[in-house]
Amino acid sequence: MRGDGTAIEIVRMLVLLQGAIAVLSTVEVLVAGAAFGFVTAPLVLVNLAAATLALWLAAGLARYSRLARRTTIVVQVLILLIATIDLLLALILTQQPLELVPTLVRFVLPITVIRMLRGPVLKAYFAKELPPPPAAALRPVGVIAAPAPARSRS
Amino acid sequence: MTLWLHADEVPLSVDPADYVGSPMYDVLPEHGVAVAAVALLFGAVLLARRLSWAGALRSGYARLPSRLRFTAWLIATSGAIHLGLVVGHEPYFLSGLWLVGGVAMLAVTRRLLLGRRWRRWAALVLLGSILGYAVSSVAGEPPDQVGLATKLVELTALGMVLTAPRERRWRRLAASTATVSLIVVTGLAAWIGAFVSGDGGHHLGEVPAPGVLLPGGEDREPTARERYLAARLHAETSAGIARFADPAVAAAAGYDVGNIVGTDHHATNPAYQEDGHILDPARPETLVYAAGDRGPVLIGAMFEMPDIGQRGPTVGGPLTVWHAHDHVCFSLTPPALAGLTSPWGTCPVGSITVPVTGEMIHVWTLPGVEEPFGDLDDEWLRAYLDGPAAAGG
Repeated sequence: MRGDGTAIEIVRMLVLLQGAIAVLSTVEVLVAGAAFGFVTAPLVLVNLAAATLALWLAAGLARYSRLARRTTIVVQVLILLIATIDLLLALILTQQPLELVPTLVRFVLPITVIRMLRGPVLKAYFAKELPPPPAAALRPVGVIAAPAPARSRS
Repeated sequence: MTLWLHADEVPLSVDPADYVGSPMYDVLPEHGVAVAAVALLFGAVLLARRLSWAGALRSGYARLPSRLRFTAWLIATSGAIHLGLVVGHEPYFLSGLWLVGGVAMLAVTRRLLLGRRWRRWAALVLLGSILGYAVSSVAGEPPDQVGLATKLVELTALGMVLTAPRERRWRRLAASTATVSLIVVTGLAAWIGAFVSGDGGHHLGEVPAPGVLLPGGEDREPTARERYLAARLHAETSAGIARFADPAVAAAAGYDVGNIVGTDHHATNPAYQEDGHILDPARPETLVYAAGDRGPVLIGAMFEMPDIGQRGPTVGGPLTVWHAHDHVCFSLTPPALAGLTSPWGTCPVGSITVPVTGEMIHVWTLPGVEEPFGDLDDEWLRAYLDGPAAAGG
Protein backbone atom coordinates (compact mmCIF):
# COMPACT_ATOMS: atom_id res chain seq x y z
CA MET A 1 0.00 0.00 0.00
CA ARG A 2 1.35 3.40 -0.98
CA GLY A 3 2.12 5.51 2.05
CA ASP A 4 0.93 9.10 2.23
CA GLY A 5 -0.12 11.52 4.94
CA THR A 6 -3.58 9.98 5.23
CA ALA A 7 -1.99 6.76 6.50
CA ILE A 8 -2.04 8.37 9.92
CA GLU A 9 -5.82 7.89 9.88
CA ILE A 10 -5.26 4.15 9.52
CA VAL A 11 -2.88 4.12 12.48
CA ARG A 12 -5.29 6.23 14.50
CA MET A 13 -8.13 3.82 13.77
CA LEU A 14 -6.06 0.77 14.72
CA VAL A 15 -5.03 2.34 18.02
CA LEU A 16 -8.66 3.38 18.60
CA LEU A 17 -9.57 -0.27 18.07
CA GLN A 18 -7.08 -1.26 20.76
CA GLY A 19 -8.62 1.32 23.07
CA ALA A 20 -12.10 -0.04 22.45
CA ILE A 21 -10.90 -3.57 23.20
CA ALA A 22 -9.40 -2.28 26.46
CA VAL A 23 -12.78 -0.70 27.31
CA LEU A 24 -14.44 -4.09 26.78
CA SER A 25 -11.73 -5.71 28.93
CA THR A 26 -12.59 -3.29 31.73
CA VAL A 27 -16.23 -4.37 31.54
CA GLU A 28 -15.17 -8.03 31.50
CA VAL A 29 -12.97 -7.61 34.56
CA LEU A 30 -15.87 -5.94 36.37
CA VAL A 31 -18.09 -8.92 35.54
CA ALA A 32 -15.36 -11.37 36.56
CA GLY A 33 -14.92 -9.36 39.76
CA ALA A 34 -18.59 -9.85 40.59
CA ALA A 35 -18.12 -13.60 40.17
CA PHE A 36 -14.78 -13.97 41.92
CA GLY A 37 -15.27 -11.49 44.74
CA PHE A 38 -13.58 -8.38 43.37
CA VAL A 39 -10.07 -9.66 44.02
CA THR A 40 -9.44 -8.30 40.53
CA ALA A 41 -10.19 -4.70 41.50
CA PRO A 42 -6.64 -3.52 40.62
CA LEU A 43 -7.12 -4.99 37.15
CA VAL A 44 -10.14 -2.75 36.60
CA LEU A 45 -7.97 0.29 37.22
CA VAL A 46 -5.15 -1.08 35.03
CA ASN A 47 -7.52 -1.73 32.14
CA LEU A 48 -9.27 1.58 32.53
CA ALA A 49 -5.86 3.27 32.41
CA ALA A 50 -4.89 1.21 29.35
CA ALA A 51 -8.11 2.20 27.57
CA THR A 52 -7.60 5.86 28.42
CA LEU A 53 -3.99 5.72 27.24
CA ALA A 54 -4.94 4.09 23.94
CA LEU A 55 -7.69 6.61 23.24
CA TRP A 56 -5.35 9.48 24.15
CA LEU A 57 -2.68 8.05 21.85
CA ALA A 58 -5.19 7.77 19.00
CA ALA A 59 -6.04 11.44 19.40
CA GLY A 60 -2.38 12.41 19.72
CA LEU A 61 -1.35 10.51 16.61
CA ALA A 62 -3.91 12.38 14.53
CA ARG A 63 -2.23 15.62 15.68
CA TYR A 64 1.19 14.25 14.69
CA SER A 65 2.37 14.40 18.29
CA ARG A 66 5.89 12.99 18.55
CA LEU A 67 5.26 11.89 22.13
CA ALA A 68 2.18 9.97 21.00
CA ARG A 69 4.20 8.32 18.23
CA ARG A 70 6.99 7.22 20.56
CA THR A 71 4.59 6.02 23.26
CA THR A 72 2.51 4.14 20.72
CA ILE A 73 5.55 2.27 19.46
CA VAL A 74 6.55 1.33 23.03
CA VAL A 75 3.00 0.16 23.79
CA GLN A 76 2.91 -1.95 20.63
CA VAL A 77 6.21 -3.58 21.55
CA LEU A 78 4.81 -4.42 25.00
CA ILE A 79 1.68 -5.90 23.41
CA LEU A 80 3.89 -8.02 21.15
CA LEU A 81 6.01 -9.18 24.09
CA ILE A 82 3.00 -10.34 26.11
CA ALA A 83 1.45 -11.92 23.01
CA THR A 84 4.68 -13.81 22.44
CA ILE A 85 4.59 -15.16 26.01
CA ASP A 86 1.00 -16.31 25.46
CA LEU A 87 1.94 -17.84 22.11
CA LEU A 88 4.81 -19.78 23.71
CA LEU A 89 2.50 -20.98 26.50
CA ALA A 90 -0.02 -22.14 23.90
CA LEU A 91 2.63 -23.93 21.87
CA ILE A 92 4.09 -25.65 24.92
CA LEU A 93 0.82 -26.65 26.61
CA THR A 94 -1.44 -27.34 23.63
CA GLN A 95 0.98 -27.66 20.72
CA GLN A 96 -1.28 -25.25 18.87
CA PRO A 97 -0.74 -21.61 17.84
CA LEU A 98 -3.07 -18.77 18.77
CA GLU A 99 -6.38 -18.60 16.94
CA LEU A 100 -7.25 -16.24 14.08
CA VAL A 101 -8.60 -13.27 16.06
CA PRO A 102 -5.82 -13.21 18.69
CA THR A 103 -3.26 -13.44 15.88
CA LEU A 104 -4.85 -10.46 14.12
CA VAL A 105 -5.29 -8.35 17.24
CA ARG A 106 -2.12 -9.22 19.11
CA PHE A 107 0.39 -9.67 16.29
CA VAL A 108 -0.80 -8.31 12.94
CA LEU A 109 -2.30 -5.13 14.39
CA PRO A 110 0.68 -3.98 16.51
CA ILE A 111 3.19 -4.95 13.81
CA THR A 112 1.19 -2.91 11.28
CA VAL A 113 1.09 0.09 13.62
CA ILE A 114 4.84 -0.08 14.27
CA ARG A 115 5.68 -0.51 10.58
CA MET A 116 3.51 2.41 9.55
CA LEU A 117 4.77 4.72 12.31
CA ARG A 118 8.37 3.83 11.51
CA GLY A 119 7.81 4.10 7.75
CA PRO A 120 9.56 6.95 5.93
CA VAL A 121 6.43 8.92 5.01
CA LEU A 122 4.78 9.10 8.44
CA LYS A 123 8.17 9.50 10.07
CA ALA A 124 8.72 12.60 7.92
CA TYR A 125 5.33 14.01 8.88
CA PHE A 126 6.04 13.50 12.58
CA ALA A 127 9.49 15.07 12.17
CA LYS A 128 7.72 18.08 10.64
CA GLU A 129 9.83 17.59 7.50
CA LEU A 130 6.57 17.50 5.56
CA PRO A 131 3.57 19.71 6.18
CA PRO A 132 0.45 17.87 7.35
CA PRO A 133 -1.62 16.55 4.45
CA PRO A 134 -4.15 19.04 3.11
CA ALA A 135 -7.58 18.85 4.65
CA ALA A 136 -8.94 17.76 1.28
CA ALA A 137 -6.98 14.56 1.57
CA LEU A 138 -8.79 13.72 4.79
CA ARG A 139 -12.20 14.78 3.58
CA PRO A 140 -14.50 11.81 3.22
CA VAL A 141 -14.77 11.87 -0.55
CA GLY A 142 -14.11 8.94 -2.84
CA VAL A 143 -11.54 10.47 -5.19
CA ILE A 144 -9.40 13.35 -4.06
CA ALA A 145 -7.97 13.95 -7.52
CA ALA A 146 -11.39 14.55 -9.01
CA PRO A 147 -12.39 18.12 -9.91
CA ALA A 148 -13.91 20.00 -7.00
CA PRO A 149 -17.61 19.12 -6.97
CA ALA A 150 -20.34 21.63 -6.43
CA ARG A 151 -21.20 19.83 -3.17
CA SER A 152 -19.58 17.12 -1.14
CA ARG A 153 -19.94 13.67 -2.66
CA SER A 154 -19.86 12.03 0.74
CA MET B 1 -12.48 -44.91 52.38
CA THR B 2 -11.30 -45.97 48.96
CA LEU B 3 -8.26 -44.38 47.46
CA TRP B 4 -9.35 -44.62 43.86
CA LEU B 5 -6.04 -44.04 42.14
CA HIS B 6 -2.51 -42.90 42.72
CA ALA B 7 -0.73 -40.48 40.39
CA ASP B 8 1.75 -43.20 39.42
CA GLU B 9 -1.11 -45.25 38.03
CA VAL B 10 -2.44 -42.57 35.68
CA PRO B 11 -2.38 -44.39 32.38
CA LEU B 12 -3.63 -41.95 29.77
CA SER B 13 -2.36 -38.68 28.45
CA VAL B 14 -4.62 -36.26 26.60
CA ASP B 15 -3.95 -34.87 23.16
CA PRO B 16 -5.24 -31.27 23.40
CA ALA B 17 -6.61 -31.62 19.87
CA ASP B 18 -9.02 -34.29 21.14
CA TYR B 19 -10.86 -31.81 23.32
CA VAL B 20 -14.07 -30.14 22.24
CA GLY B 21 -14.36 -26.50 23.25
CA SER B 22 -16.55 -23.49 22.63
CA PRO B 23 -16.93 -22.54 18.95
CA MET B 24 -15.96 -19.00 19.98
CA TYR B 25 -12.33 -20.12 20.12
CA ASP B 26 -12.54 -22.26 17.00
CA VAL B 27 -13.38 -22.11 13.30
CA LEU B 28 -16.66 -23.81 12.49
CA PRO B 29 -16.04 -26.36 9.71
CA GLU B 30 -18.58 -24.74 7.39
CA HIS B 31 -16.69 -21.44 7.67
CA GLY B 32 -13.49 -22.79 6.14
CA VAL B 33 -14.67 -21.78 2.67
CA ALA B 34 -14.95 -18.18 3.86
CA VAL B 35 -11.25 -18.16 4.72
CA ALA B 36 -10.47 -19.57 1.29
CA ALA B 37 -12.61 -16.80 -0.24
CA VAL B 38 -10.19 -14.20 1.11
CA ALA B 39 -7.34 -15.96 -0.69
CA LEU B 40 -9.51 -15.97 -3.81
CA LEU B 41 -10.04 -12.22 -3.45
CA PHE B 42 -6.29 -11.62 -3.47
CA GLY B 43 -6.01 -13.89 -6.53
CA ALA B 44 -8.80 -11.98 -8.26
CA VAL B 45 -7.07 -8.66 -7.55
CA LEU B 46 -3.81 -9.96 -9.00
CA LEU B 47 -5.71 -11.19 -12.05
CA ALA B 48 -7.47 -7.85 -12.45
CA ARG B 49 -4.09 -6.20 -12.95
CA ARG B 50 -3.91 -7.96 -16.32
CA LEU B 51 -7.50 -7.54 -17.48
CA SER B 52 -8.35 -4.60 -19.70
CA TRP B 53 -11.95 -4.20 -18.44
CA ALA B 54 -10.62 -3.68 -14.93
CA GLY B 55 -8.64 -0.63 -16.05
CA ALA B 56 -11.07 1.85 -14.49
CA LEU B 57 -10.88 0.04 -11.15
CA ARG B 58 -7.09 -0.03 -11.33
CA SER B 59 -6.75 3.65 -12.09
CA GLY B 60 -9.38 4.48 -9.46
CA TYR B 61 -7.40 2.52 -6.88
CA ALA B 62 -4.18 4.27 -7.94
CA ARG B 63 -5.79 7.67 -7.31
CA LEU B 64 -7.01 6.84 -3.82
CA PRO B 65 -5.15 8.03 -0.72
CA SER B 66 -3.83 5.36 1.64
CA ARG B 67 -6.72 5.47 4.07
CA LEU B 68 -9.30 4.88 1.34
CA ARG B 69 -7.26 2.07 -0.20
CA PHE B 70 -7.17 0.47 3.23
CA THR B 71 -10.92 0.95 3.58
CA ALA B 72 -11.52 -0.58 0.15
CA TRP B 73 -9.50 -3.65 1.10
CA LEU B 74 -11.40 -4.06 4.36
CA ILE B 75 -14.83 -3.82 2.73
CA ALA B 76 -13.86 -6.13 -0.14
CA THR B 77 -12.44 -8.68 2.31
CA SER B 78 -15.68 -8.73 4.27
CA GLY B 79 -17.64 -9.07 1.01
CA ALA B 80 -15.54 -12.06 -0.07
CA ILE B 81 -15.98 -13.72 3.33
CA HIS B 82 -19.77 -13.28 3.16
CA LEU B 83 -19.90 -14.92 -0.26
CA GLY B 84 -17.70 -17.72 1.07
CA LEU B 85 -20.16 -18.26 3.91
CA VAL B 86 -22.97 -18.72 1.40
CA VAL B 87 -20.97 -21.43 -0.38
CA GLY B 88 -19.85 -23.15 2.83
CA HIS B 89 -23.26 -23.46 4.47
CA GLU B 90 -26.28 -25.55 3.66
CA PRO B 91 -28.88 -23.00 2.54
CA TYR B 92 -30.80 -21.50 5.48
CA PHE B 93 -32.27 -18.16 6.38
CA LEU B 94 -28.92 -16.43 6.96
CA SER B 95 -27.55 -17.53 3.57
CA GLY B 96 -29.71 -15.01 1.72
CA LEU B 97 -28.58 -12.21 4.02
CA TRP B 98 -24.93 -13.15 3.54
CA LEU B 99 -25.40 -13.19 -0.22
CA VAL B 100 -26.97 -9.74 -0.20
CA GLY B 101 -24.34 -8.44 2.22
CA GLY B 102 -21.43 -9.88 0.22
CA VAL B 103 -22.66 -8.49 -3.08
CA ALA B 104 -23.44 -5.13 -1.48
CA MET B 105 -19.96 -4.85 -0.01
CA LEU B 106 -18.27 -5.66 -3.29
CA ALA B 107 -20.57 -3.14 -5.02
CA VAL B 108 -19.63 -0.47 -2.46
CA THR B 109 -15.95 -1.24 -3.02
CA ARG B 110 -16.49 -0.80 -6.76
CA ARG B 111 -18.20 2.55 -6.22
CA LEU B 112 -15.33 3.67 -4.02
CA LEU B 113 -12.78 2.74 -6.67
CA LEU B 114 -14.77 4.40 -9.44
CA GLY B 115 -15.18 7.62 -7.46
CA ARG B 116 -18.95 7.40 -7.16
CA ARG B 117 -20.94 8.11 -4.01
CA TRP B 118 -20.06 5.31 -1.72
CA ARG B 119 -19.70 6.52 1.84
CA ARG B 120 -23.31 6.40 2.99
CA TRP B 121 -23.82 3.08 1.23
CA ALA B 122 -20.73 1.72 2.93
CA ALA B 123 -21.88 2.93 6.35
CA LEU B 124 -25.30 1.40 5.78
CA VAL B 125 -24.02 -1.99 4.61
CA LEU B 126 -21.33 -2.25 7.29
CA LEU B 127 -23.63 -1.13 10.08
CA GLY B 128 -26.30 -3.57 8.90
CA SER B 129 -23.83 -6.44 8.86
CA ILE B 130 -22.43 -5.61 12.31
CA LEU B 131 -25.83 -5.14 13.95
CA GLY B 132 -27.17 -8.24 12.20
CA TYR B 133 -24.32 -10.23 13.69
CA ALA B 134 -24.93 -8.82 17.14
CA VAL B 135 -28.64 -9.64 16.97
CA SER B 136 -28.08 -13.17 15.67
CA SER B 137 -25.48 -13.76 18.40
CA VAL B 138 -27.87 -12.68 21.13
CA ALA B 139 -30.49 -14.93 19.52
CA GLY B 140 -28.20 -17.94 19.97
CA GLU B 141 -26.09 -18.16 16.81
CA PRO B 142 -22.65 -19.26 18.07
CA PRO B 143 -19.84 -16.84 17.26
CA ASP B 144 -16.65 -18.35 15.86
CA GLN B 145 -13.22 -17.07 14.87
CA VAL B 146 -14.17 -16.38 11.24
CA GLY B 147 -17.28 -14.44 12.22
CA LEU B 148 -15.43 -12.44 14.86
CA ALA B 149 -12.49 -11.69 12.54
CA THR B 150 -14.97 -10.49 9.92
CA LYS B 151 -16.67 -8.20 12.40
CA LEU B 152 -13.30 -6.82 13.43
CA VAL B 153 -12.58 -6.02 9.78
CA GLU B 154 -16.01 -4.42 9.36
CA LEU B 155 -15.75 -2.40 12.57
CA THR B 156 -12.39 -1.04 11.44
CA ALA B 157 -13.84 -0.26 8.01
CA LEU B 158 -16.84 1.47 9.54
CA GLY B 159 -14.55 3.50 11.77
CA MET B 160 -12.62 4.60 8.69
CA VAL B 161 -15.84 5.44 6.84
CA LEU B 162 -17.20 7.51 9.72
CA THR B 163 -13.96 9.40 10.33
CA ALA B 164 -14.62 13.07 9.72
CA PRO B 165 -12.10 15.71 8.60
CA ARG B 166 -9.96 17.21 11.34
CA GLU B 167 -11.66 20.58 11.34
CA ARG B 168 -14.97 18.94 12.29
CA ARG B 169 -13.91 18.12 15.81
CA TRP B 170 -17.27 17.25 17.30
CA ARG B 171 -18.25 15.06 14.39
CA ARG B 172 -14.91 13.36 14.62
CA LEU B 173 -15.36 12.78 18.36
CA ALA B 174 -18.87 11.46 17.76
CA ALA B 175 -17.56 9.06 15.09
CA SER B 176 -14.83 7.77 17.40
CA THR B 177 -17.31 7.33 20.25
CA ALA B 178 -19.70 5.45 17.97
CA THR B 179 -16.89 3.18 16.75
CA VAL B 180 -15.69 2.38 20.27
CA SER B 181 -19.27 1.76 21.43
CA LEU B 182 -19.96 -0.57 18.52
CA ILE B 183 -16.81 -2.59 19.21
CA VAL B 184 -17.81 -2.98 22.87
CA VAL B 185 -21.44 -3.82 22.07
CA THR B 186 -20.48 -6.36 19.39
CA GLY B 187 -18.04 -7.98 21.82
CA LEU B 188 -20.72 -8.22 24.52
CA ALA B 189 -23.18 -9.67 22.00
CA ALA B 190 -20.60 -12.31 21.04
CA TRP B 191 -20.19 -13.21 24.73
CA ILE B 192 -23.94 -13.65 25.06
CA GLY B 193 -24.08 -15.74 21.87
CA ALA B 194 -21.26 -17.97 23.04
CA PHE B 195 -22.94 -18.69 26.38
CA VAL B 196 -26.49 -18.96 25.01
CA SER B 197 -25.44 -21.43 22.30
CA GLY B 198 -23.44 -23.59 24.73
CA ASP B 199 -24.98 -26.52 26.60
CA GLY B 200 -23.01 -26.02 29.78
CA GLY B 201 -20.56 -28.70 28.93
CA HIS B 202 -20.34 -31.54 31.38
CA HIS B 203 -21.69 -34.35 29.21
CA LEU B 204 -20.02 -35.93 26.21
CA GLY B 205 -21.34 -34.59 22.93
CA GLU B 206 -22.43 -31.24 24.35
CA VAL B 207 -21.34 -27.86 22.99
CA PRO B 208 -19.35 -26.49 25.91
CA ALA B 209 -19.69 -22.96 27.21
CA PRO B 210 -16.66 -20.69 26.65
CA GLY B 211 -13.74 -21.76 28.77
CA VAL B 212 -14.81 -25.39 29.14
CA LEU B 213 -13.12 -28.30 27.35
CA LEU B 214 -14.69 -31.74 27.09
CA PRO B 215 -13.20 -34.97 25.80
CA GLY B 216 -14.45 -35.77 22.29
CA GLY B 217 -17.06 -38.47 21.80
CA GLU B 218 -20.78 -39.01 22.09
CA ASP B 219 -22.86 -39.53 25.19
CA ARG B 220 -24.12 -43.04 25.91
CA GLU B 221 -26.04 -44.95 28.55
CA PRO B 222 -23.88 -45.98 31.52
CA THR B 223 -23.49 -49.65 32.34
CA ALA B 224 -24.75 -51.06 35.62
CA ARG B 225 -21.18 -51.19 36.99
CA GLU B 226 -20.57 -47.56 36.00
CA ARG B 227 -23.77 -46.55 37.80
CA TYR B 228 -22.65 -48.44 40.89
CA LEU B 229 -19.16 -46.91 40.87
CA ALA B 230 -20.53 -43.40 40.29
CA ALA B 231 -22.95 -43.80 43.20
CA ARG B 232 -20.13 -45.12 45.36
CA LEU B 233 -17.86 -42.20 44.47
CA HIS B 234 -20.67 -39.80 45.33
CA ALA B 235 -21.51 -41.49 48.63
CA GLU B 236 -17.88 -41.75 49.72
CA THR B 237 -17.18 -38.14 48.77
CA SER B 238 -20.25 -36.95 50.69
CA ALA B 239 -19.08 -38.83 53.75
CA GLY B 240 -15.44 -37.86 53.27
CA ILE B 241 -16.01 -34.11 53.16
CA ALA B 242 -18.87 -33.89 55.68
CA ARG B 243 -16.40 -32.78 58.39
CA PHE B 244 -15.53 -29.71 56.27
CA ALA B 245 -19.07 -28.32 56.51
CA ASP B 246 -17.51 -26.02 59.08
CA PRO B 247 -15.09 -23.83 57.07
CA ALA B 248 -12.87 -23.51 60.14
CA VAL B 249 -12.22 -27.27 60.05
CA ALA B 250 -11.38 -27.01 56.36
CA ALA B 251 -9.02 -24.12 57.02
CA ALA B 252 -7.32 -26.14 59.77
CA ALA B 253 -6.82 -28.97 57.26
CA GLY B 254 -5.04 -26.60 54.88
CA TYR B 255 -7.84 -25.43 52.60
CA ASP B 256 -7.51 -21.82 51.48
CA VAL B 257 -11.05 -20.93 52.52
CA GLY B 258 -10.68 -17.16 52.63
CA ASN B 259 -13.77 -14.98 52.54
CA ILE B 260 -16.65 -17.06 51.18
CA VAL B 261 -18.68 -15.04 48.67
CA GLY B 262 -21.04 -16.04 45.89
CA THR B 263 -22.47 -19.48 45.21
CA ASP B 264 -19.37 -21.03 43.66
CA HIS B 265 -16.54 -20.39 46.11
CA HIS B 266 -13.65 -22.80 45.49
CA ALA B 267 -11.29 -23.41 48.43
CA THR B 268 -8.17 -25.25 47.34
CA ASN B 269 -5.74 -27.22 49.45
CA PRO B 270 -2.27 -26.81 47.88
CA ALA B 271 -0.89 -29.77 49.85
CA TYR B 272 -3.58 -32.11 48.52
CA GLN B 273 -2.86 -30.91 44.98
CA GLU B 274 0.64 -32.28 45.38
CA ASP B 275 -0.08 -35.45 47.39
CA GLY B 276 -0.33 -37.79 44.39
CA HIS B 277 -3.81 -38.96 45.42
CA ILE B 278 -6.45 -38.97 42.70
CA LEU B 279 -10.15 -39.13 43.51
CA ASP B 280 -9.46 -39.55 47.22
CA PRO B 281 -12.89 -38.86 48.77
CA ALA B 282 -11.39 -37.84 52.11
CA ARG B 283 -8.82 -35.47 50.61
CA PRO B 284 -10.33 -33.69 47.59
CA GLU B 285 -8.08 -31.02 46.14
CA THR B 286 -10.80 -28.37 46.38
CA LEU B 287 -13.97 -27.82 48.40
CA VAL B 288 -16.85 -25.76 47.02
CA TYR B 289 -18.93 -23.51 49.27
CA ALA B 290 -21.89 -21.23 48.69
CA ALA B 291 -22.58 -18.16 50.77
CA GLY B 292 -26.12 -18.61 52.08
CA ASP B 293 -28.20 -16.21 54.12
CA ARG B 294 -27.48 -18.29 57.21
CA GLY B 295 -23.77 -18.68 56.55
CA PRO B 296 -21.51 -20.73 54.29
CA VAL B 297 -22.83 -24.05 52.96
CA LEU B 298 -20.54 -26.83 51.75
CA ILE B 299 -22.02 -27.82 48.40
CA GLY B 300 -19.42 -30.25 47.05
CA ALA B 301 -15.84 -31.04 46.15
CA MET B 302 -13.67 -30.80 43.09
CA PHE B 303 -11.08 -33.44 42.25
CA GLU B 304 -8.17 -32.42 40.05
CA MET B 305 -5.54 -34.26 38.04
CA PRO B 306 -2.01 -33.43 39.17
CA ASP B 307 -0.74 -32.28 35.77
CA ILE B 308 -1.99 -30.78 32.54
CA GLY B 309 -2.40 -33.41 29.85
CA GLN B 310 -3.51 -36.26 32.11
CA ARG B 311 -6.90 -37.83 31.54
CA GLY B 312 -9.05 -38.20 34.66
CA PRO B 313 -10.30 -41.68 35.52
CA THR B 314 -13.96 -41.88 34.47
CA VAL B 315 -14.93 -44.44 37.06
CA GLY B 316 -18.61 -43.92 36.33
CA GLY B 317 -18.23 -43.81 32.53
CA PRO B 318 -20.46 -41.13 30.97
CA LEU B 319 -21.79 -40.20 34.41
CA THR B 320 -18.40 -38.93 35.57
CA VAL B 321 -17.01 -36.89 32.67
CA TRP B 322 -13.97 -34.83 33.60
CA HIS B 323 -13.47 -31.45 32.02
CA ALA B 324 -10.64 -28.97 31.60
CA HIS B 325 -10.68 -25.21 31.07
CA ASP B 326 -9.17 -23.22 28.23
CA HIS B 327 -8.48 -19.55 27.45
CA VAL B 328 -8.37 -18.69 31.13
CA CYS B 329 -7.11 -15.20 31.94
CA PHE B 330 -4.93 -15.22 35.02
CA SER B 331 -4.25 -11.91 36.69
CA LEU B 332 -0.77 -11.11 37.93
CA THR B 333 -1.93 -8.15 40.03
CA PRO B 334 -2.86 -9.89 42.35
CA PRO B 335 -2.67 -13.58 41.32
CA ALA B 336 -6.30 -14.50 40.64
CA LEU B 337 -8.71 -15.62 37.97
CA ALA B 338 -9.53 -12.63 35.79
CA GLY B 339 -11.99 -14.20 33.36
CA LEU B 340 -11.74 -15.71 29.89
CA THR B 341 -10.17 -14.61 26.63
CA SER B 342 -12.55 -12.08 25.12
CA PRO B 343 -14.19 -12.43 21.68
CA TRP B 344 -11.57 -9.96 20.43
CA GLY B 345 -8.82 -12.38 21.40
CA THR B 346 -7.33 -10.63 24.41
CA CYS B 347 -7.12 -11.12 28.13
CA PRO B 348 -7.34 -8.01 30.31
CA VAL B 349 -4.17 -5.95 30.51
CA GLY B 350 -2.13 -7.26 33.45
CA SER B 351 -3.10 -10.89 32.94
CA ILE B 352 -1.76 -13.77 30.90
CA THR B 353 -3.65 -16.43 28.97
CA VAL B 354 -3.57 -19.95 30.35
CA PRO B 355 -4.39 -21.96 27.22
CA VAL B 356 -5.45 -25.14 29.02
CA THR B 357 -5.71 -26.42 32.59
CA GLY B 358 -5.53 -29.89 34.07
CA GLU B 359 -8.68 -31.98 34.13
CA MET B 360 -11.14 -31.76 37.00
CA ILE B 361 -14.51 -33.09 38.10
CA HIS B 362 -17.05 -31.67 40.54
CA VAL B 363 -18.99 -33.85 42.94
CA TRP B 364 -22.06 -32.07 44.33
CA THR B 365 -22.94 -33.47 47.70
CA LEU B 366 -26.10 -31.57 48.59
CA PRO B 367 -29.03 -33.92 49.24
CA GLY B 368 -31.47 -34.13 46.33
CA VAL B 369 -29.11 -32.66 43.76
CA GLU B 370 -30.22 -33.70 40.27
CA GLU B 371 -26.81 -34.13 38.64
CA PRO B 372 -24.20 -35.06 41.23
CA PHE B 373 -21.31 -34.77 38.72
CA GLY B 374 -22.59 -32.33 36.11
CA ASP B 375 -23.74 -28.76 36.15
CA LEU B 376 -25.21 -27.52 39.37
CA ASP B 377 -28.39 -25.71 38.47
CA ASP B 378 -28.19 -22.16 39.81
CA GLU B 379 -31.92 -21.83 40.46
CA TRP B 380 -32.03 -25.15 42.29
CA LEU B 381 -29.06 -24.09 44.41
CA ARG B 382 -30.60 -20.75 45.31
CA ALA B 383 -33.86 -22.47 46.25
CA TYR B 384 -31.90 -24.92 48.38
CA LEU B 385 -29.99 -22.13 50.10
CA ASP B 386 -33.23 -20.29 50.84
CA GLY B 387 -34.95 -23.45 52.11
CA PRO B 388 -34.91 -25.13 55.51
CA ALA B 389 -32.36 -27.78 54.46
CA ALA B 390 -29.58 -25.20 54.37
CA ALA B 391 -30.32 -24.00 57.85
CA GLY B 392 -27.93 -26.50 59.33
CA GLY B 393 -25.03 -24.93 57.45
